Amino acid sequence: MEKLKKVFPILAVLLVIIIFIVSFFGSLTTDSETSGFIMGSPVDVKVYNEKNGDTLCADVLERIKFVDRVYLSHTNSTSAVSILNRDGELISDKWFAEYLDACLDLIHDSKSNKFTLFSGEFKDLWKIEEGGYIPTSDELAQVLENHKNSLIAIDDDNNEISIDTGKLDLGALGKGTACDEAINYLKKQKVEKALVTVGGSIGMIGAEPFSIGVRNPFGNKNEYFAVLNITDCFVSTSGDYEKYFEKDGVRYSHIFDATTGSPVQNDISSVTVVANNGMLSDFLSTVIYIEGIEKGVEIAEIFDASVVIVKKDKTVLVSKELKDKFTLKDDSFSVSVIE
Amino acid sequence: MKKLVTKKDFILVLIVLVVGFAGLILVNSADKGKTATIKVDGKVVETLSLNEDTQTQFNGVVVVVKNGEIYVTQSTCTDKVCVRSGKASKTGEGIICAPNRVSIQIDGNNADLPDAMTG
Repeated sequence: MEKLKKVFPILAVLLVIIIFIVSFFGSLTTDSETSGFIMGSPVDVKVYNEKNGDTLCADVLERIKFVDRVYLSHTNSTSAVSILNRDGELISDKWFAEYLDACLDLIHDSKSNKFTLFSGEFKDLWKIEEGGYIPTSDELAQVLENHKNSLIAIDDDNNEISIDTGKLDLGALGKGTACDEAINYLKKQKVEKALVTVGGSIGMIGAEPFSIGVRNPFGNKNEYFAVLNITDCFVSTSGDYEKYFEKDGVRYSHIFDATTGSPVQNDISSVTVVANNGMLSDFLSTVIYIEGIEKGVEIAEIFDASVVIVKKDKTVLVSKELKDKFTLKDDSFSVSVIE
Repeated sequence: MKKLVTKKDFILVLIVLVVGFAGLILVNSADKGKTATIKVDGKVVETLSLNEDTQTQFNGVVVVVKNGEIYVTQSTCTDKVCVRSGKASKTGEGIICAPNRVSIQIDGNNADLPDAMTG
């Protein structure tokens, strides 16, 4: 009995220490990162200073996979886009109906007649996925005629969507949309610092700016020619190096001008857009690439977005809003600010 | 009346505390993401994680990553300086094969590299 009395205080002190150490470890926050491959692109989700960061990262990856599989995918035959392209009609859900409405609004507000959601037929004609083919003028005329009649109708009351001819391709907005879905989810979970990359599109939350490398369009995929120090925004890039084929010294990119039915040919190598949502930044980078510098800069202004445009002659145009956030890392480029 | 906490108890408590904190420091200082950048002709061709064992070939230089270290096992060059350079694992260390114009540089824990890439 006397012995027990002696051991008891030691046990009590030990217990307190164990509880202290366990609770200390339990309250530790860590940075978490998860990677995957969705929408044909590498996806990377980083969540900083959270206790359940690993779960949050996994949830984000699942959400992006879901949006791809159920709505946007071309490879999954039961996605909304696949069904529409096959059957011409679909009773969808509120998310997809609203999403298509938002896409159409963006195109309308941009006043671009060269951007189309129906680029699928052009991609097929030019065999972009199979190494490339230059169509005859007859083939091109036929597809262009068909494209003129392409129409999408959305009945918001019952989420009924129908298309008249044409092949829907939402690839120009998909990666930005994935960033929106990710960031919206993380904000709802009160995450204060996160970085989500889907292909060339990035979404960010955080008090301190992130350093975002802007790819050198003339180098390989790890090379960047400049760094943007930005946060609480979305950034996307479209370029002629992404997917293309070359014939007789001419580079044919995967981005199409709807008025010609042909790959865009102009003096631009890449367009990077910073905007307040991912779908917008992704859309704008493509539209500005298609429309060219003069009209493109006007379109960016309509949406309060800022740009970094790299021309084929290695001159770089930077919006004045980005002037102080932009750092050139490669002296072979020359930079001027868009006033 | 016996003392509630004796000198021995105090020492025991001290030991537990020291062990606990040592473990804490050890866990937090674990190196999570060291990488090595491989350049050919001065251009970055690959970034390898030192946490993943791998073997790759760049311009005639066989590069091996094993147990958090990176080294060259074979090279088509004549001087074999790269093979004899041994293993690199600390930030700033590097191996160069000048004849084959291959350089291997251990990156800092994200030092200087941007947080993400667009494009």
